[in-house]
Amino acid sequence: MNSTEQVIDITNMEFSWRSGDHPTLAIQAMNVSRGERLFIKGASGSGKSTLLSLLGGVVVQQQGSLHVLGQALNKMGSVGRDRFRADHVGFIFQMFNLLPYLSPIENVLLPCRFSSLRRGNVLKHGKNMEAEARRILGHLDLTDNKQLNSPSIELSVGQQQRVAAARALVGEPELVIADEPTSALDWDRRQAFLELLEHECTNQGTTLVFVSHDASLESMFDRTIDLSKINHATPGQKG
Amino acid sequence: MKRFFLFLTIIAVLASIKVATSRLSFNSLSAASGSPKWENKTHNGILELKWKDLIPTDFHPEDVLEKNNYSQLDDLDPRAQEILQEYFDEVNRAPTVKELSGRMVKIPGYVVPLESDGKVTSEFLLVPSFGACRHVPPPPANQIIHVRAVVKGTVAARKWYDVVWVVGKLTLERLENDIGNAGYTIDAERIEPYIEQEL
Amino acid sequence: MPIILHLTWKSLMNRRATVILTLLSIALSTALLLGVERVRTEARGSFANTISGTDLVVGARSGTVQLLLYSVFHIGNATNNISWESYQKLASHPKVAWTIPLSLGDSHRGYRVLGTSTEFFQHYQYARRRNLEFAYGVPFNDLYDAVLGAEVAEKLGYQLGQDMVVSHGAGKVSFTKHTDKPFRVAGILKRTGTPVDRTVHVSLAAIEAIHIDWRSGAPLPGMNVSAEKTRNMDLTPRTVTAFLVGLKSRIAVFQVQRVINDYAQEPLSAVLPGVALQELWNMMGVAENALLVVSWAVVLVGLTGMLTAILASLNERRREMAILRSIGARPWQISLLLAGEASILATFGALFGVCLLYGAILAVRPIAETSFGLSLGIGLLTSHEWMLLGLVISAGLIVGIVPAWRAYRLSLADGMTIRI
Repeated sequence: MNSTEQVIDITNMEFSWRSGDHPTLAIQAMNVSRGERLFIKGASGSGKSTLLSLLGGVVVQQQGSLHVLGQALNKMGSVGRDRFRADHVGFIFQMFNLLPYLSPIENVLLPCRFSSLRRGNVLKHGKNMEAEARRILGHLDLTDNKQLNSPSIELSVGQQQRVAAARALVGEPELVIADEPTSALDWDRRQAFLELLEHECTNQGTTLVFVSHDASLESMFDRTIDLSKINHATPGQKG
Repeated sequence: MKRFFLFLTIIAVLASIKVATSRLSFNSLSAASGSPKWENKTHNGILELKWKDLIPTDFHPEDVLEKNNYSQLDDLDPRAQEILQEYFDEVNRAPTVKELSGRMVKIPGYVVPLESDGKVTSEFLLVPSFGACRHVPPPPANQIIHVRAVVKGTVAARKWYDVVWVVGKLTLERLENDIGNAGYTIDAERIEPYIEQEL
Repeated sequence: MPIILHLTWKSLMNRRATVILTLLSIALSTALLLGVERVRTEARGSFANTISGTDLVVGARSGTVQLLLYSVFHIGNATNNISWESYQKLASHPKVAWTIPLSLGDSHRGYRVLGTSTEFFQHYQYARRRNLEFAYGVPFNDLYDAVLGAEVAEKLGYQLGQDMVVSHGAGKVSFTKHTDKPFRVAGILKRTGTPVDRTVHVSLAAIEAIHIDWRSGAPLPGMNVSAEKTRNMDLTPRTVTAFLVGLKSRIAVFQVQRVINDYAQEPLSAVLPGVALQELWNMMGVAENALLVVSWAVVLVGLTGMLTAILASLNERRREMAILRSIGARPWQISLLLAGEASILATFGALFGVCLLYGAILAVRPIAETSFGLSLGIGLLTSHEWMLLGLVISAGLIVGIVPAWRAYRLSLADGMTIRI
């Protein structure tokens, strides 16, 4: 693993969902440094889902280069990309993040079942898996033992989002990508959630990429990128 | 001292007789009984038989026909019927081959079930040809083998026209109050389906 | 526990209602398949165990199976009888060790009446050479003695020494009863699991006696011979319906069979019971196969139900699959989730079906025994039944490939795209 400064490095990248079509996403340059707090402002249709899919290695670009943590994702096979995502990236979605039939603790520990790297990160400090889950959940203000062991469906939306955040952070992935994680929360909860999330990212040295259309949160971030500005592709046009 | 050596000699002689008559070596036995033709048919101590081997070589019922010049008689001649009947009676005298008694044999044939519980046939007759055809007389007693399964469950012969190999000890069946033998029986230790390769 | 198995398990537990229904449907169809197989095997065994140690069954010329059915199983009727002279002559053949004459045609309250000799109790064997045993009493001695099969005595509540009346013909209700010549129960046989249990046995002479003033099936007016008077008459049977033959050597069977079949005085048929049974199986084979096909169709329906349930749930679980993809699950792991579910449902459903089978057998056993003479075994599964079970489970695994493949494709297409 290269330890470079750039966590995300995109150059002259073009992507279309169907080859031959006009690109959905065309970005000349985009860089994210290690430990940075990045706010990506994007309305629906601005290509943010596409960008997240590319960053997650679910799809690969047709043109240009896209590096995450120094790795060219399009050079890896799909198996390699799956493993990369499992090892180095945590995701938080807008809602329905959790498997409803698993408890919060089981949900948090899921990534460690799919990535031996993250599992190792937990164990190398001499910690036990469940204790580590409880620790992160505790930092996110979730401490009720009964709740932590019941099916996740019983939690409130806000609590579920915080569990999702814990899951994204367990095992020290280098990058956390959050896609509108606060949109389903009450107004007053949003800031609280963000504070907890950022605090934990600082603790672990995780880079945070936060995508949202809600401009009111902008001030809590180091930098803002307006996706509609850097995406040169004409939205809605098909080839 | 002399008595002791005499005693030892007697023991030695008895032992060698026992060894000589033991069933470990079929080849030596057959040599002793004077039937060299069995030797080259024996594999692993099991004698593979053909149906004609069950008829003594010195048994010639067709002599009855020859003696009376049967071929020269007209079909409708009543004497022809008599001679034919004599011939069949002779065939049905069905003498057995004594030397085969007690041998481990292997012989193929068709199964005619006698005792069955619906799944497994534990007793059957083994015959050389299929079908109780009315145009032909039934096989004589030395061409039928009464088979009993010694090991249960090895006989899965479910259809009566199943063709099988039967492997087991052949004995001559004795009848009470009757002179001579009724025919052959085998206590089957193995019954395998017959796959046509060697014909 | 491997993560996929853990997830499959938890997911199934979450959808308990649907899962239980699916399990039940597979269980019922498996129980049906195994049950049909068991009944079929038991029925065969039942038939095969009815007669043993008998070399030939002889009757007036008729089809092989028909002869076996009426003479041994008392199913159907003979078209003709055998004269007593012919019977005597053939019974004295040098190769014959014993014979059992049989005379059918009468009934008692729905149960068949069999006229026979005491040799029946001596030589008749069933189920691998078992002889008949008396629970009470002895074989017939007096002219009007009757020996009852176990079921007859039990169902009709007869005791030793009781009186009973025999009817003409084989119907359950008879308008022509031999009421003037009642019989006395002299013996009751132990249960055999064969048609013997459902038969009333009397002597051949008794059959003659009760028909003494009958001609052409109806009592003649003005002719009424009392029971006492019959004792002094000549009651030598004139005909028998059939007879069983035991030979001195089983090898002689073909020869004796030929002698009987070629008997010039009367047209007769002699059959080997083993061979006749095989013919019976062949005839029933078509029906059996049809039944088997239907049973498998039912299993297929059960599995299709499972497939439908899993495929239906797939749509709702796309969210789940996207989440798993986002945390690094590979597409093959997600398809394994679905395949694993099908496997667990098929396996547990089938095993549950075995439990249902045993439950059903235990419940139905007594009725089957008494009403149909069928003894259902509660033994462990035979190797054949294990094979059927294995086939059901394998079919379930194969069926699971469909949703697994679908999940694979969906998880690749959806990626992490979460549609709200």
